[in-house]
Amino acid sequence: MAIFSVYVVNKAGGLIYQLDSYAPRAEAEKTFSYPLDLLLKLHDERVLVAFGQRDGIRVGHAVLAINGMDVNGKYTADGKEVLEYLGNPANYPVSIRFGRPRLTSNEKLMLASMFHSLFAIGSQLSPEQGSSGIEVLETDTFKLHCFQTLTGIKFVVLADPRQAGIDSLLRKIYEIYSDFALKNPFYSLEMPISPMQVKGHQVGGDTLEPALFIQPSWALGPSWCRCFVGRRRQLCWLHRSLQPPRRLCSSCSAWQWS
Amino acid sequence: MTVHNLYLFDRNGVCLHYSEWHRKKQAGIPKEEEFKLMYGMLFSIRSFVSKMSPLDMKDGFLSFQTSRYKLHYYETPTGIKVVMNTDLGVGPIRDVLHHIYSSLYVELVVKNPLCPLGQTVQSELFRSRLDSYVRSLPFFSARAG
Repeated sequence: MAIFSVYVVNKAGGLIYQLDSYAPRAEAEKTFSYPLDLLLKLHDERVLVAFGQRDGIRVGHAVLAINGMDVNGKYTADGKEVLEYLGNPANYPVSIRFGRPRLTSNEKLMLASMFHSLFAIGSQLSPEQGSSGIEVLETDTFKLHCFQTLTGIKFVVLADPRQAGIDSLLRKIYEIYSDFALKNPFYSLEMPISPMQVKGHQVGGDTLEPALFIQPSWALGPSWCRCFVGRRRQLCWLHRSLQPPRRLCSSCSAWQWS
Repeated sequence: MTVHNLYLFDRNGVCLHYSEWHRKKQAGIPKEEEFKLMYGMLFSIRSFVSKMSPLDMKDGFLSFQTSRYKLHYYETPTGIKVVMNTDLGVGPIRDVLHHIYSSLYVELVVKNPLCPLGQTVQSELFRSRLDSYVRSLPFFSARAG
């Protein structure tokens, strides 16, 4: 997949929309016997390889599955601790799958804010007058493109380094954002956008799926509101104020939401 | 096409060398702080890139560009970082930065028993050789443009 992910960052640096669409990462599954010749350590609620890189298993890879069952953070699918399980010789031989760890939502939020600051520092350290922030950041595995609007919203796209046409993709995403998010009267500015429908969108040969911002917030129904009011789950004052105007049903005289 | 400035950092963040050729705008902060800010930014970009990357990286962060300048980055396994700010028209110059490290820094500073490592390079020979090397680069034009 040529486009890896899309991030939309508001002017305070908070992430308001995120979309991942990359191909599955390189993973390696091998059967091991006791004792394990890799050194594993616990880091950030994940079990990572600290030492013992070989055969496609690199340092920094996380344990993704044991014996075919996906692990849940540092616990196996049965609820046992992974490190304890792998320390017990009775459980061997065991088949473990390693791969690059996927980012959690918290990490994505932190990375978006980090990029927001780096963008500003890039402009401050400029040796030339009138420089913008970081527009293209290049590495050997991906290229990050950033477009900042006049209102401070940043659209960030991670793509293959050889992929062309990202500039027009960024402008198109801006167009979609202004059509579906900004023109939605129930959308609060700078707040997270909830992507409700999957709709393919052709942009110069690349399909940007799912896109974006289709349904208004009140069409989701009260299920999206998690507030407890008076010991029952019902709309709190904030969410009630986002409801569409109500009308009286002509036949049964009950209040109707549109 | 021109070269604006060049920074050389070691693994602890000490700025070993800084020289500028065509710089139109200063950062507005003292040089010491600017070096720390630059090093901090590069450190953060490196960790950002290693987290974000969808595949395992080999060379890591290479360069970034803004609307006015392009920053090229090269890091050795020992933590020496060579950073060059150039114009936008300049393509990948990883080999140039590698040459600055291997043929200038290693030959003239590391192999010099009188040059203490871990602090700013005082060697006048290094400064003049670096200056003449950068001025001889094909993308360096004497006219600031």
